[in-house]
Amino acid sequence: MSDETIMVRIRGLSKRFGRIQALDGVDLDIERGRIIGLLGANGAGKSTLLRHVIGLYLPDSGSCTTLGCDAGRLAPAELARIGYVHQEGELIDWMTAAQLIRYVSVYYPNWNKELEQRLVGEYEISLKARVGSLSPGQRQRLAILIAICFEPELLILDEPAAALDPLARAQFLDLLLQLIQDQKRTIVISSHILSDVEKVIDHAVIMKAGKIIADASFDALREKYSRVRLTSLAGPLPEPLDFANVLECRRNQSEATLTVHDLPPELIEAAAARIHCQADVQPLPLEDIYRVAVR
Amino acid sequence: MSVLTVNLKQLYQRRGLWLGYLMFAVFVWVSLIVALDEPRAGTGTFIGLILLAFLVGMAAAVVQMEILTKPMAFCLPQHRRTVGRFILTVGVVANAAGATLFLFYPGLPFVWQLLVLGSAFAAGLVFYLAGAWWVFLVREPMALVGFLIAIFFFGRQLGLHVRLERIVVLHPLAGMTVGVLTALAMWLYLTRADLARRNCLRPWIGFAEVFDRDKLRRSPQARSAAPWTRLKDHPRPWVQKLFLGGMTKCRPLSAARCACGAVYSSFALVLSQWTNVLFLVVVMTVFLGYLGRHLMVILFASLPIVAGAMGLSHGALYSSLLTAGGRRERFCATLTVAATGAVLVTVFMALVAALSVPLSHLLPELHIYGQRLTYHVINARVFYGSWVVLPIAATIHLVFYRRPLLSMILLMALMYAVVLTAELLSHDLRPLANAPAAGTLATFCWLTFILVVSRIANRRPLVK
Repeated sequence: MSDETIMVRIRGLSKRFGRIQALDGVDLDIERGRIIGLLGANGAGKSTLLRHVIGLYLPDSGSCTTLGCDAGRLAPAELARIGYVHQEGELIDWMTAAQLIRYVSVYYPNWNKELEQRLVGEYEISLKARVGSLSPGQRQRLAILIAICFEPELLILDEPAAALDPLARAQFLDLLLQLIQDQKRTIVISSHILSDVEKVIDHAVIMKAGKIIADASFDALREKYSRVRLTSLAGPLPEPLDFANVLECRRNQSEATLTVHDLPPELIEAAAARIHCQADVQPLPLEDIYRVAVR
Repeated sequence: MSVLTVNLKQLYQRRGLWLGYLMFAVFVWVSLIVALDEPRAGTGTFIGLILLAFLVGMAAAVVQMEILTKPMAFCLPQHRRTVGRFILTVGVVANAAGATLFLFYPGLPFVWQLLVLGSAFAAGLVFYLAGAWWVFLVREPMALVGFLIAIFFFGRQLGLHVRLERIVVLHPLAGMTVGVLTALAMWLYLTRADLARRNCLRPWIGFAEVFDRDKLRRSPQARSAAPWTRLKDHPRPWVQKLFLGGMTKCRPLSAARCACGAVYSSFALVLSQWTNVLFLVVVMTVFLGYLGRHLMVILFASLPIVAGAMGLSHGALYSSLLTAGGRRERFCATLTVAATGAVLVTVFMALVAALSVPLSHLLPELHIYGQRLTYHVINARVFYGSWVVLPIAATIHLVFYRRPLLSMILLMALMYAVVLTAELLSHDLRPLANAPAAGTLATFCWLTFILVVSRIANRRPLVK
């Protein structure tokens, strides 16, 4: 991969907070134009990793290069190409929403006023309300607005939809899909709501205890893991079932549901034929992929 | 283990209360010294512990309120009556201990002394329950602490302490009756059915939560728009125009633009309320002028600066609102905010010093507690200390940013050490209170501050 296509390059990144190893030798490349889902349980190191990318944290060892610069030395020119929404949605409480938007817009030479006005309307942001008096959902919408109105090349969303209600989350996903249409834009989104993320990402990075345990395109992951529904065509199912790479198995006399990995459909069908079964092979939803990956 | 026992265990399990115990021990020690040094009847020196019961009552109620306001407490079995049991148990034990002070009350026959013990216990219980009731009644009981100091001084002026002691000693049966009735009323209040419902999820900051940054940050949201409506149309349009215009004039994506933005977000509200600041100048001028040439002037002048520095020093550095400013720009912005703060403080003090000149001709001599207070012109030299204190306070706050309680304790210790040293060595130190010496010390403190900011900006996490 050429350096020009890599937005973020992380090599051997480790970070420790006291006794807790937050990140442990993380290697990751984030390519331009990708929509990456960063998945993991609470405390897996997702937020810590994202904060390294924008230079809020400095690594104990290893390196993190963002937009070609050491992340710890990002200058305004690079930061003006990065949008960041974090889970707490912390803003300046005493300003009104209009004042905050105006204040943030002054930092960015390429602020898109048209997009701002459109999003204010779509998100129903009350411009005269003090930021401190907004509901968590409204605050998060405002945070998202000020993170994208300067049209960043790299958009980092750390649990952006956690505080949003279902309707606002759907709006947010629509907006993400619009943003994705710009092929040059790279989006990293960490979220617990995997069913939402699933609709937008094309690459998944799964973290556990400070390590990356899966880093692959979403399509590759869907090919890697599959669910096989076996229906017996003659008599009860044999005991045990003669399948390789089985992660989970739920069965009764005549039917079984298997979760398998690295097993091509043709091998599954051949194995099913051997035991006189009909096999229905389906890709796993992201939630189940995540569940089996972190086991 | 009973529900009450579990609740009582908090009294030693919560480390946040230990600091309170330490401060309370000082108050108790002073009360005992005042009463027992030369015990005299009818002078009001024995009621110190009775008055302190008010604070104990507040503390006990706060411990319970902190539980009551949590949603999970609403469904805890057998917890609702525990609120009353806990508060009364602590009150009975604390006031029984406090009442024993009256064993040393001079000139009482034995039987009467027993009645006085009961009366003192009842009086303490009344104050204790009043303190507890206050916590349940108002939204911010901490606001009362300043009010209490005022009551203490005015009460002393009116001789209320002497009258209270007379009631306890001369009318013990009446005192005990009032105590029993108050306890009964409070028991009914604390065990009523809707107490848990009224307080469940109530936005509330307790003693121990004063240092809980997350909770403090969330509380304005929980309290809806009320605190923000007070801001009316602040910041004023001219302030916005001044700073945002200034930002626009700076080169795009430059450190100057970031610094200007940080100054705006730090001082816009202060500048918008310049009329209030002027009013504060007048109040400070009167107050400090009557304090005279006493070195406590330095302390009083420095405390607001310490508080201000603590609030300002970290804003630009640890901002989690990501804008187009990197670590270098955050470093510059922090220094600019600190320097702007120092300039504003200097202007403030210059106004105070200048205003004290005409006021010295206008303000009369006051007589309080037999002491004569004369208004003095405020010498600008007393403010040298502030230029030193400001960077020290900011430095301590930055170094111990994640430990606000420790930061506060260190600052208070530092302030008291400075004042004590100044008091004890005032004659020896006086020659040092000159511009070159103060300038050298201030330069050293500011250089230290700059080094600390540089270290944090370049090497430390900047996550809020």
